[in-house]
Amino acid sequence: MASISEMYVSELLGNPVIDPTGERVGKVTDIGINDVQPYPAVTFLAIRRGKETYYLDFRFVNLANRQIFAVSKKVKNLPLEKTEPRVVWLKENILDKQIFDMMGSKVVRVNDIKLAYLEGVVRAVAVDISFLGILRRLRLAGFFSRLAALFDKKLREELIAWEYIKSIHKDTAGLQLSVTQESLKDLHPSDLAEILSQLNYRDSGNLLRTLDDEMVAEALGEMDADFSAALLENLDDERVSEILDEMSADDITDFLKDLPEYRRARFLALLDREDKEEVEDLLKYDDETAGGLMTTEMITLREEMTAQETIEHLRQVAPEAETIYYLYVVNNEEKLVGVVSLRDLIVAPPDTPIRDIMHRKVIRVTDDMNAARVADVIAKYNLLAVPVVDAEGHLLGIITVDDIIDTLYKHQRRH
Amino acid sequence: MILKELWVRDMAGRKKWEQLLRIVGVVGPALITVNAGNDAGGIATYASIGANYGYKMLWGLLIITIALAVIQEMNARMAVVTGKGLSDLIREEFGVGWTLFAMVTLLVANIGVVMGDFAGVASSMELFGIPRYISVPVMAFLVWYLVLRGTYERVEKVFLVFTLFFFAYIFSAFLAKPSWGEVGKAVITPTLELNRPFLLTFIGMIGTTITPYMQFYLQSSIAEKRISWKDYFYEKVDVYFSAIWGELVAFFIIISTAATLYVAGISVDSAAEAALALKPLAGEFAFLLFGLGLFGASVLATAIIPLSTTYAICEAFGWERGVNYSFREAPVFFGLYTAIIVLGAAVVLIPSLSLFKIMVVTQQIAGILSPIILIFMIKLVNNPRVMGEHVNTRLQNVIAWLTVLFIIFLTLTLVLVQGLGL
Repeated sequence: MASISEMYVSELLGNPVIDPTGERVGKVTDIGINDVQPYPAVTFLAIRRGKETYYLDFRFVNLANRQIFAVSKKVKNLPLEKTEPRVVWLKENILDKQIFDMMGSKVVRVNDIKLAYLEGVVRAVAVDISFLGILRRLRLAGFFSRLAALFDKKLREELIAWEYIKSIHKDTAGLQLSVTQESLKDLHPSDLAEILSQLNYRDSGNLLRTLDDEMVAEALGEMDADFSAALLENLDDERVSEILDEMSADDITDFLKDLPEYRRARFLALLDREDKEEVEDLLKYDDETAGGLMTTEMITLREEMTAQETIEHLRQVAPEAETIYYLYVVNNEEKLVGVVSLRDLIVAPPDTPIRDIMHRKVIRVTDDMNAARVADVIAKYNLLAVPVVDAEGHLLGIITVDDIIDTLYKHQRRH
Repeated sequence: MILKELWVRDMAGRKKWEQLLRIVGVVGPALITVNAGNDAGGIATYASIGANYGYKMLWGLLIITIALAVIQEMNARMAVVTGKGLSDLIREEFGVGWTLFAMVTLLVANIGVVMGDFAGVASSMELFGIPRYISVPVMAFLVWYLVLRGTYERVEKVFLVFTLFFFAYIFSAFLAKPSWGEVGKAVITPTLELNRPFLLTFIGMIGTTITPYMQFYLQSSIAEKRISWKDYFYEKVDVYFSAIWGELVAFFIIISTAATLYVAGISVDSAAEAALALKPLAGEFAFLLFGLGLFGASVLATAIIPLSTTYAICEAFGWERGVNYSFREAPVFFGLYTAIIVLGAAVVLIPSLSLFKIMVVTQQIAGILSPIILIFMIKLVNNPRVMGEHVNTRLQNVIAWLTVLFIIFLTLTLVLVQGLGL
């Protein structure tokens, strides 16, 4: 059995199916698999017989060798169904389509599919995305392999194991081909953003539908506005509003800022009231100023809180905040009066009031300050974040060092 | 009139200027594509049609305009419905073998078109006394470098402005005082001469308009814009308007060359002769006008076509593509892109070849190959699995198939005429 323990779909499609008496049942036009994870088993064959297509349960089929499918019954006893079973078809749904390689975090095209005997059953185990896969489809693999051998080279297959692929084809996008949701969670938002941008918008829309709101929100924060808008415009209101809910006000603002006004309207309408006010305030700022760069999601403390209380407070609000390394202290009028670092807080005895551990001289920038000056300030004082205040000293937001890097980087590339 | 139509539609609760912004956002890809289609090969083909055959082929231009509008609308519809480029769709629906066939066709046709455009660079610069051995390598390198550096977009506008000089043909056509009665008659009277030059020229006229690369380029640029189906009406306006606009320019080039050169019995064999048709308008400046226009159009095309061809092919086979990759990451992309430019430029440097001939013949090759891609398109656009309810109407299919059959008929007639030695 070893010789046929592995095979390619390209070698099987078009091959004859023969019954025990040698009579031809038809030829194989497609191979259907179930949704068993991680390696789905072959469950059906689509067979062309004359002008009709029939579907045959794979339990009646034996792979005699690479060329021929043998069935266990005579043709007239075979249950040749005319109704299409609900399975994923390897040729129609996977082969030649773009899929999503979760190990490499990129979109690739399936040139061939590898099947293998596992636990006594024929299963789909990997897709081949190599040039060799293309050659194999063209029946030129042998020739080119020999040609390459002349130059002491070896053409190699490039396999992605089935558990690491995700279908983005429209009919099967919803189908879990494998443990995808789990593996998707491990993707960095920037990688997801990159993947989404490599896909055409139908496919990216399909992919979006299978992701949770938080992941989408984070990925959108990494994309340019036009692209985010195009993605969101293809989703319904309810979903958009859920996704926007997960985004921080400054990310929403960044995205809305680059959109023409007529496209903004829909998104603004979908924000909840609090977010909407914040976003509208932020939208007033020029991109190149501290106000335009800042996020309003920071943690503020009161002088009279104790270290212990503050840590409790942090546990509740930290997930929402942009950074927790600096905690800003405000008075009753929301004016900035001090800053506490996470280190100060943790090393302080639990009942020390914040008043006693905070630094009163806080490096700050005003909301109208030029972005380049903000960068200077952050660089000069080696800060991870800097608070933004208005002319009266009210705390408006913070700018983190990664926001500044993004801005500087964009600048540099433009010039 | 079109604008008025736009105002009336879909006005529920939307401000007028918002509406306008929407239109501007959608309109564009087809106009750029059609303009890029009036490249060196196009100009040369139209000029030689006017100079050699007078108004005789104008009826063909009318038919081509209709065919172009219908075909480009199919591309636009596929782009909006599927969100995919043409090579992407061909690969997904027809598999590796057919894709290879389509891509080889595209590659051959496009290398030809690129040759034609480098010939355009060479002959426009020769009008200014710069030999092709300098202009072609320099421009080939410059285009190659600027496009890969991603800085091309900044200089693109300059070349776009140059192409505006071709509008001079419109004025020139009027100043040449053609007999408009004859023009009108020629537009509605089909004439076909059964000899090799006529048939080839006619195929060239089709090839330069319904050229394979335009279908790929247009469909990807619309797909990239992510236009939704509810805005499709505007894209349709873009497509139809562009088809008419592009062919109007062609129409006036033919008329002005016919009214000046054909009448005087001058057949066009070089850029200098083609420029003569602008004399009624520009006098001594005709060469300058024509030279800059030809230069701009040629450079634009050499920047767009190799890149879009490479994209289409890499997309079909799933290779890494994009100028943001390094050579090591995307060797096929950079290799193919460079090869198309080098090959296109190198042929032009062969001393004995007539530049004008290169421009014209390459369009004829594109014309002969165009039915192949068209058949793929018609199959795709009629596949309900791909297009859902937005498959072709019967009328669209009739026009598309007639176009394909007509080109095949011309090609077969050509072969027959050739064989019989007519």
